[in-house]
Amino acid sequence: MTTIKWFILTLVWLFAGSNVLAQEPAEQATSDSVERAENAGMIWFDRMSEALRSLNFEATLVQTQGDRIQPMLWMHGRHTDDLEVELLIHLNGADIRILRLGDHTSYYFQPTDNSYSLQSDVTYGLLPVAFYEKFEQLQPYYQVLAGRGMRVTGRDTQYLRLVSRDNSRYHYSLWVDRESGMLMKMQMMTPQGDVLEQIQLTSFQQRADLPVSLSDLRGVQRPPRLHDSRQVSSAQMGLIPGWMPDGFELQRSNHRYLYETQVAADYFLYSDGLTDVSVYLSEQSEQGLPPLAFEGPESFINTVVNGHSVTVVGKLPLETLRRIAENISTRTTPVN
Amino acid sequence: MSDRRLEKTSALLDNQIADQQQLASELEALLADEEACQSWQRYALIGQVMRGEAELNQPLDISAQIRNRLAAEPATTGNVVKPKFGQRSARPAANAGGTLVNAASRWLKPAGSIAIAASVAVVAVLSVQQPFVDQGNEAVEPALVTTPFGGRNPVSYNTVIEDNNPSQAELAQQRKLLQAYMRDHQQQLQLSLQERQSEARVESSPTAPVEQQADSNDNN
Repeated sequence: MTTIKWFILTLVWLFAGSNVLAQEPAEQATSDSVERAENAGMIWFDRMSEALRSLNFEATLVQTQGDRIQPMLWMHGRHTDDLEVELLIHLNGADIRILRLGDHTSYYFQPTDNSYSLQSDVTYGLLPVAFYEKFEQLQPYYQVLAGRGMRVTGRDTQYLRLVSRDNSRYHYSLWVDRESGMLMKMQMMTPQGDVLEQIQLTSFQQRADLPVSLSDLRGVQRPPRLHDSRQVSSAQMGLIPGWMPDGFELQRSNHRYLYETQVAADYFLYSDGLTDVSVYLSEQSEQGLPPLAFEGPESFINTVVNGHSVTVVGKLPLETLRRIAENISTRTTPVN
Repeated sequence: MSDRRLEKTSALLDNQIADQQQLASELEALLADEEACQSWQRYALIGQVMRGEAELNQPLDISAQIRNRLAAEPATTGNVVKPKFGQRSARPAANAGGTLVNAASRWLKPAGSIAIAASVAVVAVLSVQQPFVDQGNEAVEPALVTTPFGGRNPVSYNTVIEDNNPSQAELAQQRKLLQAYMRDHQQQLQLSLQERQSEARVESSPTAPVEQQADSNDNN
C-alpha cells in the first residue's frame, strides 16, 4: 500500500516538476523572440531612416486618407557636394510642391501666393519627422517589432510594426525594402486596427546619382520664411492641461489669435517625438463652436469646461484627446 | 520619363523654344528618345483632337518619318548635331545660367486650381454636425427627436423645427473655425520643427551663434 502511495506521489511530483520545466522554457522562448523581434525592428527602422536621407531615387506613391486619394511624385538625392535634395509634388487638385535643399524646405502653392519656407532638414508633410531619425529617441514610449516580410511594389520587404507602449496612440505598419532599406508602404491605424492613412509607393527607381530632374533646382526662387505671429504673449488664462500620455512634453505655449480668426486662445503644443497634439483654450462666448468630436488622421475634440472652450487637435485616438480635454486644470506654478 | 523632359517635348510641340541652337539640341534629344517620341505622338494627337483636326487612318506618329528623313539627309546640314556626352557642360557658362533660370521659371509655372493646405481639404469634406457623444443627455429628450437619421432632414408630421439647429451661415462659420484650428495646428507643428532645428544648430555650431540668435529674436 505504501509503495503504491509513494509511487503515486513520485508520479505527481514528476508530473508537476516536468510541467514547471516545460513552462519555463516556453516563457523564456516568447520573451526571447519578442526581444529578437524588437532588436531586429530597431535595426530595420534605423536602416529606413538612413535610406530616406541617403538614397538617390524617383518614386510615385499614393496617399489615402479615408476616401481621399492623393497621388504624388517623390524624388530624393544628394549632389556630389553632399547637398540633399528632396521634391514632393501633389498630382491631384491644387498644385502643391515641397522642395528641400539641405535644411531649407519650401512649400509652393500655385497659383495663390501663400508659399513659404521653413528652416528644416526634414521634409515635413509626408512622413512623421521621427522617421528620419534613429529609433532610440522613441524607445521609451514606442516599440518597433520586426515581423514577416511581404511583396510590396514588386519588392521583397521587411514588415515592421510600430506601437505605443501604453496603447493610447496611433500605430504604424511599415514595409521596408530589404535591398535598399526604403519605405515602400505605410499604414497608420487606431489601436483597434482601423486604417486611417496609407502611403503606398507605386513605382520606385533607385539611381546611382542624383535624379536629373533634381539637378536644376538649386536656382529655383525660394519664398519667404515662415514666422511666428508678432501678436504673441504668454498663456494667460491660468489653465493648463493636467494630463498627457507618458512622454508628451510641452514644446510651446502662448496666447494669440487663432490662425486668420479673431478668436483669442491660450495655446499649448505637446510632442512625444513622433506624435504632436495641440490644446487651445478660449472663452466659450468668443469661440462659439458646439461640442463636437471626430477621429481621423487628425482627430479633433471641442468641449466646454467651466465656461472655457477646450479644443484638442492631434494624430491621436479620440479617447486620448477626450481625456486630455477633460483634465484641464488650474495652473499651480506659473510657467515663465 | 521625367517631368522636365515631358515639358520639353510639350514646349517643342508648341514652338515655344525661341533659341535656334537650343531648338536643335532639344529636337535631337527628342528624336533619340523612344519614350519622348511616344509622348510627342500623344501630345500631337491631343492637340489635333482639340482643334478638331484628328482624322482616322492618318499616320499620327511623324517622328519616325522625320528620323528616317534625317538619316537620309546629307551630313552637310549643320543644324542637327549628333548627341554627344558632356555637351551640356561644354556650353558657355552664361548660357548654362540662362537655362537654369528657364528651368526654374518653368518649374514654377502654375498648373491650375486653387491651393489649399492638404490637411484643410480633408476637413472640408467633414460635416461639422457630427453629434458629440454625451452620455449624460442621451435619454433626456426622446420626445423631441424628429430627426431619427442623424439629424439630416427633419422628417416629422408636425414639422417641429428645433431651435438648436444652426443656420447655414452659422454652419459655414463653424466649418471655417474648424479649418482654422486644423491649419493653426499644422502651422504650429512646422514652427516648432523650425525652432527645434535652429536650437540644435546653435548647440552643434558654437562658431555661428550670433546670426542664429538674431534669427530667433526675430521670431518672437
